[in-house]
Amino acid sequence: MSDKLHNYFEKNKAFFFILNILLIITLLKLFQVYTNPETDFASALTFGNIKFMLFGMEDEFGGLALTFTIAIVAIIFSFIVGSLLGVARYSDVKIIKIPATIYIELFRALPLIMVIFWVYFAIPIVAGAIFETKVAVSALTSAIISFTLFESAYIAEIIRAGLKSIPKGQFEAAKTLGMNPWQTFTLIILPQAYRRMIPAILSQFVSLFKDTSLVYVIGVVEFFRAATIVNNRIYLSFEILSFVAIVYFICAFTLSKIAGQLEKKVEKQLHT
Amino acid sequence: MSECIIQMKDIQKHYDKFHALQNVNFNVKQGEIVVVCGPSGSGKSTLIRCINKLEEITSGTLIVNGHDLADSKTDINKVRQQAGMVFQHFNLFPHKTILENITIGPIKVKKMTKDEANKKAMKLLEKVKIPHQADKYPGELSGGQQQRVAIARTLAMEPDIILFDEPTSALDPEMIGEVLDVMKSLADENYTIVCVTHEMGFAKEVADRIVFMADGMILEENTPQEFFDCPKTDRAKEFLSEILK
Amino acid sequence: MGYEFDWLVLLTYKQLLIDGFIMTLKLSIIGIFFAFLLGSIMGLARASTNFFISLFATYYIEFFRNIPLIVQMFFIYFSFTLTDTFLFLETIGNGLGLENYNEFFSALIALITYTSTYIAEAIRGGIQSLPKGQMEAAKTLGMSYYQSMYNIVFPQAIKIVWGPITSQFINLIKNSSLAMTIGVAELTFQTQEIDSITFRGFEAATAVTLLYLFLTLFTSTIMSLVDKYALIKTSRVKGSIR
Repeated sequence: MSDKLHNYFEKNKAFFFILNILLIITLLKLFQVYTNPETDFASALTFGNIKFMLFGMEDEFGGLALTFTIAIVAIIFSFIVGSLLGVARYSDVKIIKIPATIYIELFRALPLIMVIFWVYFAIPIVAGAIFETKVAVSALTSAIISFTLFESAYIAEIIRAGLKSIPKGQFEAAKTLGMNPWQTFTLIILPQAYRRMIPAILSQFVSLFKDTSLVYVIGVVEFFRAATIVNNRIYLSFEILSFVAIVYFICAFTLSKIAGQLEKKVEKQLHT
Repeated sequence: MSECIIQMKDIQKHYDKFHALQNVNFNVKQGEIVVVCGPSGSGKSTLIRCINKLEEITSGTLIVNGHDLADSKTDINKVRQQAGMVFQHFNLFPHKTILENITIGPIKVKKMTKDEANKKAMKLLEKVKIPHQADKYPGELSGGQQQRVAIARTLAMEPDIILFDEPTSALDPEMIGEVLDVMKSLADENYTIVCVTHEMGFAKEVADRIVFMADGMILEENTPQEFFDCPKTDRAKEFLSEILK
Repeated sequence: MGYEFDWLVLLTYKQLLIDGFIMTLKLSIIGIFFAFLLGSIMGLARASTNFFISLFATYYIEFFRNIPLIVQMFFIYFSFTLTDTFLFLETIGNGLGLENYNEFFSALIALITYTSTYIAEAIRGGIQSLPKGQMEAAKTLGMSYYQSMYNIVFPQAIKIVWGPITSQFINLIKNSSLAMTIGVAELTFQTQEIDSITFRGFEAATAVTLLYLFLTLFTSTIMSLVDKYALIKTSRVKGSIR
């Protein structure tokens, strides 16, 4: 009988997907009724509050919209820097391989929150020391720089794994056609590596999306920070944080499901 | 008429839309040696895998060694102790030594002591002619040796029935003989054997009965002599001419 | 030179660093232990053939994986007073030499639930990568599902995914840094502490970076040793895949 149910669900995926979300919300409701019976969602989730959490203040850009923006901008930059690092570590040229390796291993050993702090406090100092100028960066810029530095190390490893999975014959074929290393990589190797790495990169993106919540610590008013600001005013932690958790869940879950679908499409392509 | 040790009546098995077993009626007497053959996809593996419930039937009656497999009170683990199976790909446990592979069943399931189990296992290894491999790991043995260990592992549980699922199909030709020899020696003992195989020589020598399947149905059942000399259906004739090339 | 380095501050304030390091250790060791335990259970459940058990495990994994760790920590810390509901936590807290029970346990629980989801997925991957024949062979010998899992499947699966599990343990150690946002005085917290007292954030951050590097390398080494001496041998597992 459970087999039949299972088959039914396999065939109606969209229905199952919505059912999942509804079921989880129901369970949460039960949890809430048990632990915090007196909740005041109405005053917590006023139109004004929700608008603030999703979009930030009137004349500024913030909230959930900013969360998405940070994630997208950061992944693009990380992708570029990460590709360079990944190729550098993959290569056998010691002068580029060793610094790349050190960079990657360093940033993979550090907690992201430390990198965020580091960058925020170090930029003015480093700029002052090297360039002898007083530079002040906005928290947002510093956040994007931190994410780029951090995520590029992980993307680099993904790219390197992708490069390793490409048969040597591809390199040899390109060589025999007379291509130089740059051409080989950009025209033949990297396009193939990217296709194989799409699932891993997408999952890294979902991670990044969740990690944007960390810029809370330097005051960037993205979704999480906005929610804590609201909470500091009205002190309805359970309600506000439940809302935050549910929104994050819906976004991250949906993103990872989309990533899963894309992965299946790519797999089909690779095996034609 | 003695109660058959395996009774399959009106068996149907569906995989979603695919009708893997159709109206199968199959009975095996105690001590009988039955060879099941047929083209690939005919359902022969499915048939024997239903006997020890590795596959579940969709409908029909299935009684093994007196146990009704459809009854929820039946302890399937007990049934499986009585109906051992030898697989095409051996399925030895790679992280255990040869000796441990053979003793793990008796120790964990039959609650034998380690010493008893080890003694028994060594005797079985001698029977399959590889006692010196006892402390090696499966990865170090050849395919033929691994399959012989697999047979010893099954015998260690003292089953009444032994099911063979294409035991030599994954072996290099020069090793098939040594495994068939072991199987032939089992035929002289009191085991009930159901064997899915393409080895027609083995069937001729040893089988009491041959069952020919195609498209999920049993098309012919006969003594080996009669099956090979005068096959009745066209499918069987086709199959035999291919096999005996 | 625009900035003068003063490394001696680290010596003066070394106690803060030591305290932070020990706090990180407490979070990490207890966290790793329970995350592995919970992750193994959920991974086995997720790989189960029982539709409802595996569905429940899926819900658990998706739920605690998609909510950011910092949100989980905040939720537990701000919505509940843990020591009121679970009085035994106070005793355990005393045993561990803690002062702020609620902060510590909120962070710890969130770390455990979050990391256990990744460990669960890794273990599920390991179990499902084994040839089906292993489970079938165990079953044909008459072993129950649990016997088969315990003796045959799980030992092989753990070996296969030991690398990813090591990564998750290291992630937990790094993620313990988030506990600072709810007031747990672990390593990253101390960076800020030292910075606010001495304005030598750079030096403090360097020291803390080295300490995290040390923790990461130490964990990798221990896991390699466990792999070498306690787990089944690789060549054995490869040999079965024919």
